[in-house]
Amino acid sequence: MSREGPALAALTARLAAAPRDALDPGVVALAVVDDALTALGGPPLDGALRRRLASGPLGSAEGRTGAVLASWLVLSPAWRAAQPDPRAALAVVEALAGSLAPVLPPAQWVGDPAGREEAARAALRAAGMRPAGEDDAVAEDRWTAVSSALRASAMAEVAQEVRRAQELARALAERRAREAAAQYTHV
Amino acid sequence: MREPDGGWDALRARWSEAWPRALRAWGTTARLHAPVLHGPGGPPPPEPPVGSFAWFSCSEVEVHVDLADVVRRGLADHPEAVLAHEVGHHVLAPGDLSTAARVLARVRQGLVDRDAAAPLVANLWSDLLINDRLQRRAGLRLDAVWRALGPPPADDVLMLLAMRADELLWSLPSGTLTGAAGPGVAPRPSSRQRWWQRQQAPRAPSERAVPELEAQLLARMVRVFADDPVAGAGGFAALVRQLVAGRDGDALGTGRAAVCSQRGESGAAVHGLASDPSLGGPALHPALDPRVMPQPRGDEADDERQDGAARGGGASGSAGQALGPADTAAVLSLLGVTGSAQEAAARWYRERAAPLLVPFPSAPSPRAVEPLLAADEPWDVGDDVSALDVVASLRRSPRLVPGLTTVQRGWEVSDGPERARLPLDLDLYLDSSGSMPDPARAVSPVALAGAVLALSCLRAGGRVQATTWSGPGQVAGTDGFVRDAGAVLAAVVAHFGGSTAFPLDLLERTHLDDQRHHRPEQHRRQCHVAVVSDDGVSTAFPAEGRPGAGVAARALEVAGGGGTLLLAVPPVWVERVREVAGGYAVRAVSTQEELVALCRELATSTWGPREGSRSRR
Repeated sequence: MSREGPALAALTARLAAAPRDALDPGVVALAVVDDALTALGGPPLDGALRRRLASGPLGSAEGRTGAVLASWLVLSPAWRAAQPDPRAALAVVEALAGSLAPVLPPAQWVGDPAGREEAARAALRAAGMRPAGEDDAVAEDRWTAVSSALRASAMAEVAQEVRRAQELARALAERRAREAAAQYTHV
Repeated sequence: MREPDGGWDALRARWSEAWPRALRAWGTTARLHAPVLHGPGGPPPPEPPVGSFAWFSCSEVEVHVDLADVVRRGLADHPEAVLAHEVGHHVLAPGDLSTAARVLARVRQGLVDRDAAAPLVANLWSDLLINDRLQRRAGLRLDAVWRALGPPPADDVLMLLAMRADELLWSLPSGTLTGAAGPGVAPRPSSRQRWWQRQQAPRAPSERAVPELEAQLLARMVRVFADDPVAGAGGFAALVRQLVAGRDGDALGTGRAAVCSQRGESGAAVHGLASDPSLGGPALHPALDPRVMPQPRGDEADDERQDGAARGGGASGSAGQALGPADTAAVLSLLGVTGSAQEAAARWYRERAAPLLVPFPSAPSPRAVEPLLAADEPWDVGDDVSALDVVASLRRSPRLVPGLTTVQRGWEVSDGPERARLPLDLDLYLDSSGSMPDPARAVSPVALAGAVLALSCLRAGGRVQATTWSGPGQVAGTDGFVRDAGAVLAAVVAHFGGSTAFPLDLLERTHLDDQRHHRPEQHRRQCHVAVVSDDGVSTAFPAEGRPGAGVAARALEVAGGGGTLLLAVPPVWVERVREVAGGYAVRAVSTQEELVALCRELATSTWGPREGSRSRR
């Protein structure tokens, strides 16, 4: 059971309003995350946590941009009103930078409506919340529908099915052609 | 019949008032005349029934709604959404008849062996694009329309797929439109299990199995191909075809009642099918289409998928393979365009020949002329329309009957100071014996070469006598020199499939009768004699002493415009034929590449600079 969080529309609007600088690969993501957690009342990142983040979720360019956008999201008034805990914010940063960014480029979290919804739902799930106005079943259903990670693995299975069916059809067609040719030869 | 709230007149008024708002959903520039509202107080629905509460026609560009059916289905309160949806068929998908035909052609490719379902699947694809556009951008409640219609039957996999895709597109909870439990509620079998279930045992009718993964693919397709219905049509059909593998045809048929229809486009002309190189290729399943499922960099399968997309290339998901005449005929038939396979094939050859036309030779007139007005002459179909003398025709009869009461101004000639040039006529003989492919069923490069010659001659102002021949007595054609391209192409695509005997008697009658009967020849135009055949052309040149010997050579001499044998034979045969063909030019046209080379040669060397039009120089 998750608890009710901010409205999805508030989070997607926040992502849509992200400053262009947030997508700049030159931004020092670790510093942005540190500032965000401090602003939420948490302690500054210690050395061990910094090393863990740098070598993990923030180890790739996508991960760093994702961490900056996650920081932007948890600093929104709607989020802070519903979940001001800096530990939840850290979980959001780790989830978005480590899990979502590799499968959905962070630029789409800003520019694409579907990407915005997925990023917002991923953040809520990481913080143990569901969108305002939705129950757990609906929130889970929508997450299943929009999740790129779930979709990617499922689609890989579908693609494999299609390839298998095509190979089967091709083999059958070749066999029929061979049989037809054999019949013709023996007439 | 159930009476709507407020009566039929009030309902009709409400739907009429909604029309301007429905048009505005597509922008301020959309213009379409008012919809035809059938039912009580209006025109009756057409017979035979269209099979839906709303339908459209691309050839007549109008929207029809059956109000009685609307009331019966509980849609009376959704006039704006229903009407805007129908407008969408004229604005977005398919938009026009040509696009409708192209969508249908791609759907046919994707469905492989389910031709009968192609119109339904094509229409459903258009519906998906239109509905998503209206729901997202125009703020209309298409989901309310679907809710009013109710969930699809449990065994209607096609509509379940479409409804689930709409749920995903419009962020609706699972089951809102499908009436099924959400994906998280029931455990989902693995893909391999589902595949085997489909192959081995069709589902029981009572089981409402929503194809979740396919719906997710479809939802992505709708957004990717939002503005290009042709590009996504083949992939959608491939998705549907895979989904119904192992099921009978009913799996594709029960949704017919829930979607609107496109009325049969009887008598309409469809252009562009034969010459579009993107319509005939195989349809790419969306799971393999990188436009639908882009892969992260470094994916192993990515290269293969990119290759597939490249093969699928272009806007419509296929590359470099146009439809053949038989496929074109099938698409036109599914579209409801009336006509025989031969008519469709004639259109196909006309379209394919158009870019290959060559300058047709002309010859000096026997005498230099200056025009003088003379008495009226009959004007027939195929003559230049601008030559029709309407006033003189009406003076002859108040009712214009082409070829009977229509006349044109006649002209006599007098000696002039300069010599004129006249286009040559073309006497074209097309072999349709059993060894030749039927041009209406398979692409015949040599028949296409004949069409190129004939249409080039007509374009230059000449007349054509086209004759299809096979065995003794199997001769058909235009029966004389005409300027009617339709009649000529009908002869080009006709096919007997019998034995092989060149109609030497007709060749003799056409060119040598004047000589034989000592008739004056001053009205004869020079004529080019062309034969389209294979090794059966040898029957045109019987050995010395046999009946008909020497006729072809003498006809060529009298015709005065040269002769060409276009043969579907290997190059080695060409030399053998040349030995007996006398003054005829012999050319092998077995492939489309050879045809293009021939036309290029005719255009630039043989006919172009020496005698033909100078326009290409």
